[in-house]
Amino acid sequence: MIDSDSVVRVENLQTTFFMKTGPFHAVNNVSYDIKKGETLGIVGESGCGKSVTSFSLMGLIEKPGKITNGKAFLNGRDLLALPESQMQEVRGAEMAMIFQEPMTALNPVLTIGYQIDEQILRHKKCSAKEARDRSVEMLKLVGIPAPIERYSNYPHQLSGGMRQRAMIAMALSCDPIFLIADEPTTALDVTIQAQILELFQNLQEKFKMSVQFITHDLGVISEVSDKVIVMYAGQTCEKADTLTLFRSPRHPYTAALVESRPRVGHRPHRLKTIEGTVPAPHELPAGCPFFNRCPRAVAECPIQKPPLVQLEPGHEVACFNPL
Amino acid sequence: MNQIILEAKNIKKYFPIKKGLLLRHVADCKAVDDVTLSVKKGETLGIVGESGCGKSTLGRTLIRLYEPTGGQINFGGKDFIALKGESLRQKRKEMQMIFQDPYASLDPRMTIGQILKQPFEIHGILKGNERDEKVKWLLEMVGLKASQVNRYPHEFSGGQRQRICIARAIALEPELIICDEPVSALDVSIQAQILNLLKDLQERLNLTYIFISHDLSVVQYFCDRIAVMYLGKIVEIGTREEIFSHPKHPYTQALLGSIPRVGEGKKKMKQTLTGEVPSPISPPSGCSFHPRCPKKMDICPKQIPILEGTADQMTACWLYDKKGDLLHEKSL
Repeated sequence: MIDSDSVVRVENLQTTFFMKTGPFHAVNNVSYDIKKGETLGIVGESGCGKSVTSFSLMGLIEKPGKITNGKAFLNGRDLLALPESQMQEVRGAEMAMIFQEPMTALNPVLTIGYQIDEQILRHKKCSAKEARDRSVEMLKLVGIPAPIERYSNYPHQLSGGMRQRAMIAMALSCDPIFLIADEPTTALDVTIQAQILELFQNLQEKFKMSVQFITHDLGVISEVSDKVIVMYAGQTCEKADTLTLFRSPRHPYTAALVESRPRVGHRPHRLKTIEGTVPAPHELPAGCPFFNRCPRAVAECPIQKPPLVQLEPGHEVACFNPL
Repeated sequence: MNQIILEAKNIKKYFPIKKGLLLRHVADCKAVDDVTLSVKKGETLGIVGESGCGKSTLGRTLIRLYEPTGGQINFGGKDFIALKGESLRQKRKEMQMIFQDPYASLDPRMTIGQILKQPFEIHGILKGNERDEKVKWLLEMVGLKASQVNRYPHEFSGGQRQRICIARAIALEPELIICDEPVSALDVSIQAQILNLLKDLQERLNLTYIFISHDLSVVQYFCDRIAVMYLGKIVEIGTREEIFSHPKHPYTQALLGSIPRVGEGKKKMKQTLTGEVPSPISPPSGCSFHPRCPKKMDICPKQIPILEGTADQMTACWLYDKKGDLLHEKSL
């Protein structure tokens, strides 16, 4: 059913990497939708496919990777069916992305201002002077002190927090309706992280963007998102609104993830652990990818992939034996 | 239990900054500036702070990987800084270190067996068969299989490599282990495994830890006492209960306020601190936190506050008196 409120709708996305050891699905059958002004959090450990999901939407998957199935609608248009020339018009304008490490995402030999101008000039019909004014205005908006001076600075002259602000300014410079933030605060210190998250929330409120927020940090995801998808080995384990997911997780992996994180004000003698490690891409079992680490595994787990089932309205779990 | 194993007094570590053709010494980067602390046998002392606050430099200075610029270290009843040559080597056995990145701290060309035998070779302890047996025992202690002894580091995952680093650190049965961000590079589910392992080993081998981390939730779980550092100085030190329930220093309060919490739902972030950490090359005058402090007073930029208070909690802040009680602003 088509939900008319959704700005972004992803259906059965599958991205496959064709490796020497055989094809492996980095993202397998992932679906979600994001409404206007809503934040979807995607959480999971390294290698679970959370970043590949975003790269797929942005059309940034390169060989040996390929999107092998699925649709991704942005305002009703299927991004995955667009030719590269049209994708270039969308990327940076209607949808933008913020990366984890601003030092590698910014070009070190170009000034901050030049890099923001470039994007505005590419997507908007305006003069160089207008682009410059817009860039300075954006830098001011993201709370960079002395934006006119900063405009002519190079990335290395800015601190980590300031660089991430500049990245946000760049991403927002063409008024995107959809923003993907891939671990935007992971490289930052806690007090700077708090500043950036606050800025992020203010800007989202102001521009009513739909946001896809990717992180491995359960605390961050819990504070910024409206609903959350938990991914494991390329698949969706659980999907629910944020409070439900963290207060009453139903998938054993989600529950274990929440329990294994030390929390302030809660101090067990031992932390709960998830034994073992994530299986290597070419060793993925035929059934549920989590079954070899799962304390609640039943007979069908190694044989069949559990389908994503709705247990309560808005709460979907892929597990044969949910909590 | 209350025996003090390591006592550091007024530790300083300055890195000289040299400029020009003649590399003249123009300034110092005061990475660790006047730090005094003590560690009791069997406890875990946490050192927290943001990047660049000097926590790793402090750890490395305590173990003398860096020679301190000034101060005294008393380790196990001996003046650690005065030790040289053979006596230093003997004493070093009792102090080990675990580093953050298990990919960088293991030699990729050595097998696990060779890596774990090295401490014994260096110190000439155990021979032939006994050494092999000990290596097997070490692997089992950290939850690996003795059959993996001939494998190379790249065959192991991040969590397993950190286990190997831990095995190497406990090989010589040290008294004290300095753990420098031992779980920061690992995934959440693996972090819990390593933290549990460190805790088990502490109980079994009666180890003392200095645990350096930027992650306050981990520190809260793992440490008995906590020192909060800012720009090379300890701004607050105390028991876990005091630091987390009654933080006194405005910086500690801000740090605790910035931790994202799980399971409280989406909420509006509130601005905790403005600005960023200043450079340790030219730290602000007086209390180095004053440019970012929400409770800044006239005295703060003028005079450096002293770390004072009770045995359970000491704070370096002008808001508090010598006993650590809050002063009224009028009386200042």
